[in-house]
Amino acid sequence: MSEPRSKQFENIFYGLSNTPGILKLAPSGIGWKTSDSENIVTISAEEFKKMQWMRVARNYQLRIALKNGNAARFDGFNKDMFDAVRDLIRTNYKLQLETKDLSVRGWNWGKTEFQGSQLLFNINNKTAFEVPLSQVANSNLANRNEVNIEFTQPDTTEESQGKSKKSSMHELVEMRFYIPGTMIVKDENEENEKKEEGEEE
Amino acid sequence: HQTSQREATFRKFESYKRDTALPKEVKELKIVVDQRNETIILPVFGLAVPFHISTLKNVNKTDEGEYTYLRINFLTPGQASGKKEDMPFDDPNANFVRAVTYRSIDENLSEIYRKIVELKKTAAKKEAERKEMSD
Repeated sequence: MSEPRSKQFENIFYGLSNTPGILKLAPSGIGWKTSDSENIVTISAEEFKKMQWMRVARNYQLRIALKNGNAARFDGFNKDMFDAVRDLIRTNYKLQLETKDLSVRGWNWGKTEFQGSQLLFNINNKTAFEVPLSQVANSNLANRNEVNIEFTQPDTTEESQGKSKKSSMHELVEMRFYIPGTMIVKDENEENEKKEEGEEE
Repeated sequence: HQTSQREATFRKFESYKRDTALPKEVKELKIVVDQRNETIILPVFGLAVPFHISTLKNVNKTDEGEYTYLRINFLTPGQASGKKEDMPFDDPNANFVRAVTYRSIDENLSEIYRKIVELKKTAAKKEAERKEMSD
């Protein structure tokens, strides 16, 4: 087994940030910073609980689940970096790098599930997408089977010094879910009536 | 019976078998129309989420100030306009994504809109031909 050591990965995005930075996996923990050192993130290895690897839009993500219930996400890894990341995590933090498969089936039906501060949409037990509840600005019942979720738009002040790269982004404004069978009491009665009718026949 | 009819008309479709098959362009975090795999890929909080064209009901484009809005509507149960045979799902009791709305000042959004409409048209035509053949 090799000794704990540090290794850097370039062009890594922290969370949904638009500016890439360098991620350093050191024995004591991880550090991420943009080239101008404007944004710096450090997390001590003692905080780490679980490490996951998954396909995201910006190639692959290293997701670090923390003991406080939050998760730090780093996007932009290439597929072939998996072995290097796995080995570092094993020697530095004594953790396994788990691979998480996402659904790319293309269906619009599945199961919604709350997990921590995330709303998951799963297709055949695989996650297709996640909605961080922190991004939800407003949510309402459009009718008895329809839930509408509006999202907060990216904070433009964050980008105020640089060129506004965000404005040409495709921003998700709203998502609408259809949830059948949430009509409760009344329907149960109807069903019972139907059953009784069936028995009479 | 309605349910068995629906099961009979559900044709299994799959955008991608594996996540490695997602097109490279998804890394821009923009809407991608993949004609070859008949799929629209939407950026949702960092993930690239495919929706097969068979799940698409329609798409609307509106301009508001400097923004263009795209509203993408999907087929779900409980829609008055949907014909039974148009329902592509195998589980009417599941939870459904019914609609998503994006906005951008990106001029490409109009082009994406055009591509989605075209893909839907082509897919509908193919489906009609398939039905005709099977009759």
